[in-house]
Amino acid sequence: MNFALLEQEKAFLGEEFLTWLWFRTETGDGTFELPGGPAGLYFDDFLALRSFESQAHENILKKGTPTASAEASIALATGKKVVRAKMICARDSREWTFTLDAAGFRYSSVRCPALESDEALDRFLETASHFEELTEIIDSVFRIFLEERLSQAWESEHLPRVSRWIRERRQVEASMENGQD
Amino acid sequence: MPALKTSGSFQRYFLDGEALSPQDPQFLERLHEHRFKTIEDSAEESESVGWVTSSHPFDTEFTLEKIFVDPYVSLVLRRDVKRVPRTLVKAYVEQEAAAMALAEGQEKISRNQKREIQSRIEADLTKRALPSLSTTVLLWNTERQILFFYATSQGANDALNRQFRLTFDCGLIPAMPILLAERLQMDNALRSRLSHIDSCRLAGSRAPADHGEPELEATAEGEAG
Repeated sequence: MNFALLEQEKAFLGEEFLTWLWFRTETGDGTFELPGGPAGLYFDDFLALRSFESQAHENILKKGTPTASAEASIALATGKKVVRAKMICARDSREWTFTLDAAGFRYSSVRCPALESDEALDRFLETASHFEELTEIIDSVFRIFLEERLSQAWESEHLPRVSRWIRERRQVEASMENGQD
Repeated sequence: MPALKTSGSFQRYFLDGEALSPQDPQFLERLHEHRFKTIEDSAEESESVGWVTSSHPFDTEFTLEKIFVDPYVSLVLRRDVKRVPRTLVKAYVEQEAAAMALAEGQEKISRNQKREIQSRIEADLTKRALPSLSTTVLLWNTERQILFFYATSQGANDALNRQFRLTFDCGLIPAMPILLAERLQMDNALRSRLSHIDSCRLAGSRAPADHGEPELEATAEGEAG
């Protein structure tokens, strides 16, 4: 199997997931009820958007709150989807930060929660479990997305909600632009 | 006793098939067979990839104590690459070709002669060059058969895939969204739709006007005008 080609052909699935996740975190409180307990996911200060059909133009937004920017709203409204995002994941009192690449689900710049153990062996096991727990959380949220995305109700219920969110974001930006003129 | 940093970048993999258990004596033998071998004095090889322990990049004495903390195996993939600057090779080749032409009383030497000079100079410079050394941790949960490779570059991951298959006769499947989706527990109807999934347009309009409300319809990709 040519994994590189498959990743390229099916990159849209990860891009739709990250865009849906943005929608879910912005229209809800970012908390997901998952098998291992509730976890919160939030977008941080880096966001890259691109159109799957036209790979040429990529919007990279960083610093501050990129998800709240006018550029992000315009990019979404022109059909772009999230290709990379820096995120914060929280469960109980623990927190991870990481950047997720949509096409390959590669995790970069991951920072795991502070370790509680003192012994070397325990610290190794705790660190390993932190990396695994982070990916389990993302896998579980990805599964929630898939259950919507692959359901009969995707086109009649779920997709219209995402589209309305994109439209309303753009309307807010447009009215602010008009107000400034 | 392996060590692991609390920060980093990684690509996750699933095991494609069955690999040896770390408790199987062959496991350590295979690691020894495919351990890192130096190319420092080699004139022929410009790249070497092999396993080392997480204790030190020079340590290839594998023991269970060094690599296994149940259920995790922790290995380090070492990759040395020697790079000879092309401009330096070219300069030496031109100098030697000119000297040979002069000695033979010709205006220039033949293409074959020039090729021979280039091969000899490349081998000589390769032998003298010091390799760049990179090490990447592989964390392998042998219960769940999930692996974390702490590098995201294509080159490092290609090297891992080759070395893992050579060592354990078993391939790795990257945890990209479509392959991860196939592994998640879902009912048959969803699984069936996954095999036919195509990109959809989350916002309906390709190029909305700069001002005013864009035309956004919730349409599937195939239906978009």
